[in-house]
Amino acid sequence: MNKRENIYSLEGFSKVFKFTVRQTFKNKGYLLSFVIFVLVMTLMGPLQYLGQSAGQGAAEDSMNFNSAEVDVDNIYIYDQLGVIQSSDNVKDLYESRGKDDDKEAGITSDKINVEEATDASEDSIISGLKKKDVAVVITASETGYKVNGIIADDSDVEIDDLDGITEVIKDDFDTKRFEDNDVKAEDAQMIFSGVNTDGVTSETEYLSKESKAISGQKYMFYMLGFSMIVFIVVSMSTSYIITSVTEEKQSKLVESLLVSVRPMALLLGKVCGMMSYVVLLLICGVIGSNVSGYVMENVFNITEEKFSNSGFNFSIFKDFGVVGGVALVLSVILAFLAFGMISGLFGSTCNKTEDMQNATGNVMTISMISYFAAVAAGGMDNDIVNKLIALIPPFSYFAAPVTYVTGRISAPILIISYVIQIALIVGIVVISAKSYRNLLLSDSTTQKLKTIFKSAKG
Amino acid sequence: MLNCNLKEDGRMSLVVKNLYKKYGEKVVVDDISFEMPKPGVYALLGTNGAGKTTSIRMILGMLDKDGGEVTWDGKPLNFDTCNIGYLAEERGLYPKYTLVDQIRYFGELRGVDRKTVDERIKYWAERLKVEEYIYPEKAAELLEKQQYEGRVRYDENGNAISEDFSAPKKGRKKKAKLQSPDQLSKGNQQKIQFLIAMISEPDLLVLDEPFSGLDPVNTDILKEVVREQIAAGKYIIMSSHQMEVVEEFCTDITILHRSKAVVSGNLNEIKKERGRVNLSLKVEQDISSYIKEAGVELVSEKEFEYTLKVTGDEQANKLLSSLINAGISIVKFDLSEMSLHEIFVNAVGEGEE
Repeated sequence: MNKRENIYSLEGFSKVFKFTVRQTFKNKGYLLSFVIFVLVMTLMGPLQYLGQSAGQGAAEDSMNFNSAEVDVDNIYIYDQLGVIQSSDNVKDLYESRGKDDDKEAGITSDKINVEEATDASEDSIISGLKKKDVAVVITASETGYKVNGIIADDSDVEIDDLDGITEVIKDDFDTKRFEDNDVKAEDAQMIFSGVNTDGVTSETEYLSKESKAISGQKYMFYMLGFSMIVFIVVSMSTSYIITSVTEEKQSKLVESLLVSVRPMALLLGKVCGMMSYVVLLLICGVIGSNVSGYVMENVFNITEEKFSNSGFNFSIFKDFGVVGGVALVLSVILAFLAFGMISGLFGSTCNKTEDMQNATGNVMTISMISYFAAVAAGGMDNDIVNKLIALIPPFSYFAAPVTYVTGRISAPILIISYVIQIALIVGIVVISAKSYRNLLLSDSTTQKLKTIFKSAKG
Repeated sequence: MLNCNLKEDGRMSLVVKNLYKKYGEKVVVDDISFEMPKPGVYALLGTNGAGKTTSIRMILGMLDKDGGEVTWDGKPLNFDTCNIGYLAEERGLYPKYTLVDQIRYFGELRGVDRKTVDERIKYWAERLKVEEYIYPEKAAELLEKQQYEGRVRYDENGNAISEDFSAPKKGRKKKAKLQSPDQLSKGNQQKIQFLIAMISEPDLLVLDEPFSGLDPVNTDILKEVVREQIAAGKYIIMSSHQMEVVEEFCTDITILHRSKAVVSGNLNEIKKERGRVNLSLKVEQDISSYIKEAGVELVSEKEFEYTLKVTGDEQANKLLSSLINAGISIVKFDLSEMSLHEIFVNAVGEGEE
């Protein structure tokens, strides 16, 4: 080799870059992927919200009792314990409606009859009920008391309505019972839940005490979201770069290319060309995600808080202000460069389609392990783990900015993390510069790392 | 990109000095040197696996050298110091990108502006007869022509019936679609690659097996272009197994065998050194006894037409004298130099020994 030749020269980089970008956007498959991904990113938030709302709505419908929609003529309350003495004590049954409401549908106070305590059997009560009557019987039992809702055998009252009425009366009965015995609501809650909430610190108080602006749940949520973005970026580009490098090698085009452009320029031009496609896709997706958020809030009155709580969406980049956003974007770019260069190197060891599958598998395995490690670290939210995951590559490409923007690591640690990440990229570049040309011209089908290092040594 | 214009004093030269390469313990190119002090065609010949392609890759700076140097006009040869065109032995194109895009890409990489690239594509597409693979309108023309010819009918006397094919029928005209590069025949792919090699109007042209896989018509087209390049004062390095082609174009050769140069130098001088040893003799009677007497090696004989191998002019003249003295009528006496094929086979044989 001519010793004066600069193996790190990037002469021709811009031409390779432009060609890669042009051809990527000319490719129908990539254009279609672009549109689909942007649409998915744009609509991910609203779709998740709608999906969750629909599920929640159905669940709430079954739980909520709406007295205005219940079609009954009379409710008879037989309280053998004598706690409920008037309809005023079961206000929740008609709270939403005026006492003098004369509409036929729904429960009004005049329909509630608190009967004198009797020892009447349930059978005799049933026999006295008409089709649209409901009776609620409160009796003493060995464990305390029991509340039963009763309707006639040929009743028109819905079972759901009967359950709702019985449940409301039971709650009101409890409330009145505790009041009568001077038991506070908090004490009652403790008795039933078994948890003394006196010493409980609220989330806000805890975060303030721990100097954390974001809760553990949100931290995990952001870690999951960001590492997913990096994973998508890496997976999208890995296959393209390996295929592209192998295609040039297999077709022997690389021989013509290497008399026109430096190997490093060839590799970096390809990696950066692909990166610009993915970054543009991300930018469009993030803009789309924010636009959909804006529309949801301003057109459908669904606030961003509700919107964000329904799941991950790509508006994450603006949640942390300019510095946080820059940190996140910088990490995506660094991750792309690192994995792109590794993909290029692995691609240059391929000679056949099977080799490409192995090479893609190798890179994907590294990125998948990093992704899961980041997600696991997000779940643990442990100080030491947070620092380690932010500092050790390749995990740091997936986790470092999130640990910073959520207050888990300080700015100096983030800077150290970036220095390590960049150093790793420089290392890959040095190995690439030394070995890429030799690997491209080699017929060896071994894709072990040792082949790459051996080739770098010359 | 530096444009190396040929200077009249011939100062520009290609020097390959002590080129050396090994993989592990195996030496694949062992101390190869040659020089091209003036424009012309230099042949790099050799058996399969002798190290030709590796040598070419090192000369062009594609592959790291373990020893030696290659200079162009006194400077290390690379695409910064010389305008290089290269037709690789194993040819290929991007399978899915359009040919125009690919050729433009290579033109841009070699520092040729878009306008000039487009002009050159047009010129070379026409010269190499590949327009219909590059330009959709040419493909459309060809398709239309084929459709037109497909509709020609002939009467019983073999005359074309002209009334219904004066214009293309409505609704039958198909939209022309360019073939994708991977659908092109090997020969056409090769011509496109040659076009790519020529797109920067290189000063140094390296052609690795340029005529393999081409039909006679396309071979002639390419030969004509090579002749033009020689006339234009270009430096050409050619590697080929077709000895007659090499003899047609090359002034200097290096024959490689098992990584070493076994013959190197000017082709005429190499032939002269080996003397005139091929004798073609036609007589009207059997002269076997005279041949034996003169100690000449008989290669073949058919109806008193002999192909003989002599040691040189002296032995040939001795045989001629004995035939004349014996009054044998000589129809043909042709004493010629070794062919390149023989030189190659001999050199490789000697190398084996």
